[in-house]
Amino acid sequence: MLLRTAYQSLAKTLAILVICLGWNPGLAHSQETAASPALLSLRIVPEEIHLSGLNPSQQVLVLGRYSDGLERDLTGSAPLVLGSAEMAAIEDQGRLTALAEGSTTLQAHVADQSARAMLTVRSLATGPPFSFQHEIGGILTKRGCNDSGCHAGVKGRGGFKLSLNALDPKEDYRWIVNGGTYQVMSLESAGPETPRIDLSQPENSLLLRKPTLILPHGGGERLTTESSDYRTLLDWIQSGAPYERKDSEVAVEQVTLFPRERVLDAKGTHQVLVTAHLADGRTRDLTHLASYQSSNQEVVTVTDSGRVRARTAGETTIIVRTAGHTVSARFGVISEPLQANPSPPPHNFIDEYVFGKLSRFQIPASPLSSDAEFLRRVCLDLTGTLPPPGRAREFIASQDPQKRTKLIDALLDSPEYVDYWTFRFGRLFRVAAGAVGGAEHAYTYWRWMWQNIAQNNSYREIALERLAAQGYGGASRHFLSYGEEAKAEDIMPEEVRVFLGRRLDCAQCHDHPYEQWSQDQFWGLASFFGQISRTEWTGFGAAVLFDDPAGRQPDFGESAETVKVIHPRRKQLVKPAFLDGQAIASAGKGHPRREFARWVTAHPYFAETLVNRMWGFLFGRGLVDPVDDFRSTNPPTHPGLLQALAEDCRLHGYDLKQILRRITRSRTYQLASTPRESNRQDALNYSHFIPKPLEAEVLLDAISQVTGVPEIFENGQGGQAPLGTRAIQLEVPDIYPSDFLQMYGRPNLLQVPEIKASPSLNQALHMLVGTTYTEKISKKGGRLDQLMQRDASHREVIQELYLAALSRLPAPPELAELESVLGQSSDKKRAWEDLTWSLITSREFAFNH
Amino acid sequence: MYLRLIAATLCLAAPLSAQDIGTVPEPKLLSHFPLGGQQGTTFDLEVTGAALQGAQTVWFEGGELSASILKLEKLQATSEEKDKKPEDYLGKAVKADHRAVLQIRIPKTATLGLHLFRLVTPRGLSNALGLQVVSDPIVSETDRPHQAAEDAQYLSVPAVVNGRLSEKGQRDFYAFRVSQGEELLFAVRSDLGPSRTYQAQAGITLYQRSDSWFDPSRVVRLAVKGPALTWEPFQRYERTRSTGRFALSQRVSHRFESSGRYFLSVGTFTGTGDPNHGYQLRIVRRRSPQARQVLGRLAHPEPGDWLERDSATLRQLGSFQRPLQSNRLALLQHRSGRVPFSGKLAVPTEPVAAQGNSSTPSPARDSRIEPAPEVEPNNSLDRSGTVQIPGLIEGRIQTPGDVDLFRFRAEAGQKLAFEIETPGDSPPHFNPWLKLLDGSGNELVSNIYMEYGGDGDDVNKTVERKTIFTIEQSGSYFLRIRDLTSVQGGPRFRYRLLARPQVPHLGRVEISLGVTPSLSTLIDKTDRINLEAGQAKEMVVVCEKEEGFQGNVLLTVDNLPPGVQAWVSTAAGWTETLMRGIQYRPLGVEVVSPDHHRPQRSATTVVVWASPDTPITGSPRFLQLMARPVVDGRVGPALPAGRIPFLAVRPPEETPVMTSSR
Repeated sequence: MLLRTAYQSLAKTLAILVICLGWNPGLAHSQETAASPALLSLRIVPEEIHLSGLNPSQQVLVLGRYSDGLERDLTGSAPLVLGSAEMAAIEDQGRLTALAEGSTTLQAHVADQSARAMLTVRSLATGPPFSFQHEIGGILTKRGCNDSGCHAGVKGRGGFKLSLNALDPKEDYRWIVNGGTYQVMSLESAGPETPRIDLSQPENSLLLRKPTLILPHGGGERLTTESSDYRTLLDWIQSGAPYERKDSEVAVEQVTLFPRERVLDAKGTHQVLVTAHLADGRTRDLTHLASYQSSNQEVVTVTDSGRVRARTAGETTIIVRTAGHTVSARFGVISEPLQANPSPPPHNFIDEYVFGKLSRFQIPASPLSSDAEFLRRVCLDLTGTLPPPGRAREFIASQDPQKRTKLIDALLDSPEYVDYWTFRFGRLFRVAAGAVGGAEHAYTYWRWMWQNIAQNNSYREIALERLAAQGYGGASRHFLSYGEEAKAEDIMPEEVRVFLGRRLDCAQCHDHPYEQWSQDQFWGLASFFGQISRTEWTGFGAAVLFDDPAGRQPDFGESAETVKVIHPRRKQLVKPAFLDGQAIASAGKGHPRREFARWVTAHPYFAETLVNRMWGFLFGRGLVDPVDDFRSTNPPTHPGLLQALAEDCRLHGYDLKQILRRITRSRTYQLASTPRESNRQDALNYSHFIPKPLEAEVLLDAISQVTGVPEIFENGQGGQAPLGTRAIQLEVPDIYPSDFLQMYGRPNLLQVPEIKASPSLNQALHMLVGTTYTEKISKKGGRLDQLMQRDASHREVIQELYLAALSRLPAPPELAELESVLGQSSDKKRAWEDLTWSLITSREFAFNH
Repeated sequence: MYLRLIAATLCLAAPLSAQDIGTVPEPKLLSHFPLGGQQGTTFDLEVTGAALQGAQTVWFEGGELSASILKLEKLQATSEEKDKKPEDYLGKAVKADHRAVLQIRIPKTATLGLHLFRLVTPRGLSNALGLQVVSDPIVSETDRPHQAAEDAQYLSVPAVVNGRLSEKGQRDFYAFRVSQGEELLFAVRSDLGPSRTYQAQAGITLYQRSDSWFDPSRVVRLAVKGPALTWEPFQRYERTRSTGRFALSQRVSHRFESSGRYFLSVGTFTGTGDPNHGYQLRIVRRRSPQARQVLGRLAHPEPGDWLERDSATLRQLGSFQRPLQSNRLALLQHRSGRVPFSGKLAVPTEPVAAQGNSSTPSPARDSRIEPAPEVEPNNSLDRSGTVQIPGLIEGRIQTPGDVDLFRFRAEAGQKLAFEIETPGDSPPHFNPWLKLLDGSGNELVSNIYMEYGGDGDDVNKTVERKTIFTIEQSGSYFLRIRDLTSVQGGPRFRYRLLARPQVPHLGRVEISLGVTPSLSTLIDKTDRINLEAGQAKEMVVVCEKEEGFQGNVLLTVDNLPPGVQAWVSTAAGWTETLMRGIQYRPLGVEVVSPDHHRPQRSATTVVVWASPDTPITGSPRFLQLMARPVVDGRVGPALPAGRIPFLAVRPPEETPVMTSSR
């Protein structure tokens, strides 16, 4: 271990110089702010209102478009006037309740602007029949009773279980009307069954006495006896607590919000409209029957009635739950509107979406990156490799206007691209000895991965092959766990997570507490993997995977029956079924995983998950982030862009290189990492490139590359990887223990990796005295040794090291200062070593920016 | 599972260790270089080993090659070596303490292939190493480092190179030129000592230039057809020396789409290397006569090997490619014990037909079963082909998912056997899945066998090459065959399916099975017997009784030298048998009867004893184990069951300590 004692002060000086003079992510020029905006136009939402049934009502909004580009909610301050006042009553906040049948106009006036909508009221006396899901379930949802933290928790609460957001109204009805205690592993009720309603004395029903705190209630007061919801519940019990007629059930197919996206100024408020789309084609306003939640109350708050209020600048989502659905709307808050919005001209549709949102959210984009910044960024992103100094000089000096495009193509055609993306997908696919039960399996799996990347095979074909893999080689190794076949309930959630970006794990034991995934859906999907079995050939090494209708390999003490996929609550054999419950006809006879693979790869989720993952690779965060956690409560930042990328991906045959080419050619990707004053806080809208730490393997390779000293990877079997093997080239990485990689975040591949790089004290100490940072610098035969042999000047060394480590030449002040500092040293070699150390421990080096 | 594995390992390893305590080490060869030579040449060969003191001669088992010892020296262990942990498969330290230089003479007429040789020392015979005899001139590996493509040693095709992987992580690069469309066959072979696993075998990787933007001189690997790793059946002599795993591709055939300069590297999967790690590399044109030579194939294979089932180490490997010949029934009958003992030692060239009364239906003595090709389409019950009993079908899984069905008639009580041969490709690549269906298509039995394996409480499934079944009701039945997967098929997925009456017979007989510390892996512990006068050595002989064979097995050891006797001792008990890992344990053994796939096994101890007056034998000889089925008081023909080299040696105190030199 080299202790940098006598040279620490010089090293420190150099480090400060490198940090201060070099990469300086300072602020770009701030933007001018705008003057007070003028109202340009007015509109009413919805423009056409159709009401029918018993006591129908509709939330109405009055919106004004202003000269600063914002649309503001003026409901409440803009009086609404009916053409026929007797047709409906209008509350202050814009809720309109029908009183008589007919048609009329609804008008609003603000300053010199006016707007108009049409109101039609029909069949007031013969509305739709009572619906438990809509009426009672709506109240339970709105009041938070069926929230995951309350009675919709895994086991319910206080012996009372409800489904999340009234997702399963029949179950809810059963628990309310019959009572009983929910059991996770059984359909049977545990303990005595005490109904939550009392038909003989409705006011004594637990369903009313608990939330009104007449009886003690752990969830506190949720209703008052004066509220309309209390009245509705009491009426329902008094009328015999009906469910609804089977033939009159009208399912809520979809719930939509207005607005989906909205920018508020610092004092802005906005009402959310919630509309249910019924299976019979009608719509229904559920604004008053929904539960609202802000994902970030620092940015906006939301009232129980759905009014959003700005707090501080930023962006977040409002989560709305109702009628078994969870939907979200995105709200941004700006401090002051901007006068100018200097985005670069769009290069492709990515820029149109990104710059469009930047414009709507009034966030300026940073300028395009310099050639040097782009060069380093794209080399690291596409190949995990720093550009050699000679190539860096050449690229920076080139006057070719197409040089960036040409560089992208050259990188995508390079073997380094194959190395790096084999490594990346190998990690995602968990190519590791520990994961598949042996180095031999992992190597076979790795080579399959490598071949697919080298031949740029369609990702759809890759997914099809892996999901349906059988036999002895390649992807079939994925289904081995410790050398034995993985169990259906373990492998299915991984496949869904990797290829569809959804996490179903929770639904294995119970309906998902936060999402709509049910336990039945989980086991129906898992059952596709229930026939995976293997024959052994020569010990552990030559397992042949196949789908055996008799089920997987029994373990000790298991019978032929227990190896099949049995629903843990229903205790029944589960047939393979897709998410919509549809079973495959060929179950048990053919190759169910192939059916599953076809379904997965044809599903819209498949393409959006892939493009989101690739986007996440390049930008450090996905449009949905984490990249494999799509859910209603975690919506995309740019839904339109996500769909457009997915469509583009489908059109180009799921070509990985094409996705990378499309993104890296965009101006969005090529923006500078230096923020402007007014976009510094933006972490979601790609107004500037946000630096991301190098992955452990890439960092180690980069240090080896700059120092010119390859890493030696020894394995536990008395051997080592061929000299010159890079960390990203290790075929079976986990047989090569590495303190450095461990310290910098090498993931455990026993499960789908989640890498969140965070600096640690260990890393800091390793930078100071660790062998990776110290020994390589002074090693004979390394870069510095060669420069010494060449008798290079200080200037040559500084320039070479800057190009090697940072892919740029030092700025003139940097060069001058460094030459001066190096010139004062009596030991040239030590001074150069200190400069190298300063460079490879700098943030500019350790980050891709 | 792993805790159980460790516990079981300790339990099983202990008796073996105790058994070895106090024994005087036998001479052991660990490495040699070069690994082979050309016909008609003489060259020096270096060997390293342990306990080689006093080595006098070199013994070639085939007798065609000869050698003399030019030099024998004792090696001083370095401090690093002294600290090295034991690496032997039995957990014993095996370190080279001697180095010898031999002069090898290969006659021009020597058989091509691997010739086994041993050193003869006063303490006995060493284990065997193999020397590959080839027809092409041999190129020496260059002295300069060539671990990168830019330093590659150039070879002109055809070429044979003797090289070494001297350092950890070493990959030796070679360059060669090809014409467009040319197809070359690459093969490499190592012959390593007991301290190495099979993963340390050298393998081949092919490369081409890449024109990388980063480094235009960089080479990238070529995508070649075939499995990423190879599993090779061990030669019998190798079983004492390896745990039997896998290696990087040892044989690669590749057709080059463009002419030009290409590269290959030789290295090991785990990147091991040391000065004794030799390899032989060969590049030949695919269509040349040399392509038929297979590196590692024995020039003089042991006669009489009965490949019903390979040794339990590699339980099935190879057995799907045993030929199901037209005289299959007669061959089985020959092993049934229904033939009187003829007194001959050698295997009859023509099998002798059964005689006497038997309750088992016997085929006619000259019955031959001519193969009949399948006729597609035959993938459903109503479009099935037909087969007679006995009958031999030749078919193919033509496309992924292809299924072939054959109908036959059988009578109640008929005992049938269904055997499969896969001449094109065999498991784990082609895994024929056979099912016997009743007339309605309901499955009666399949060739998937389930048994306890792994650490003893896991269940393994295997695909079996033979399934036996007794018909309960007269009627029509179907045989349904497909690949285990539904994603494979093609020209190499050929099968031959034999449907025949059962013939109770003596199956495979194996000598000296032991169990490794890793459990469930059976290996031959004994590949030689060195006995002092008055000493005895035991062999455990496992006999497999196929298809309900109820007779006994008479074991004899022939070709014993004067003073040496062999006796059948007590039968190896159930516990011992189980501990040695040789008892098949089908899943649900209590309730699944009969076993449709596996023979019954019995273990017997044979003791070889050198009487006190046994003279020292000057040169080694083979002891020949013979097995004779005994049924109804009749002794059947002598069936060769294995041979073991033997040497009678001096006691240690009489062993002269000597070092020979040129």
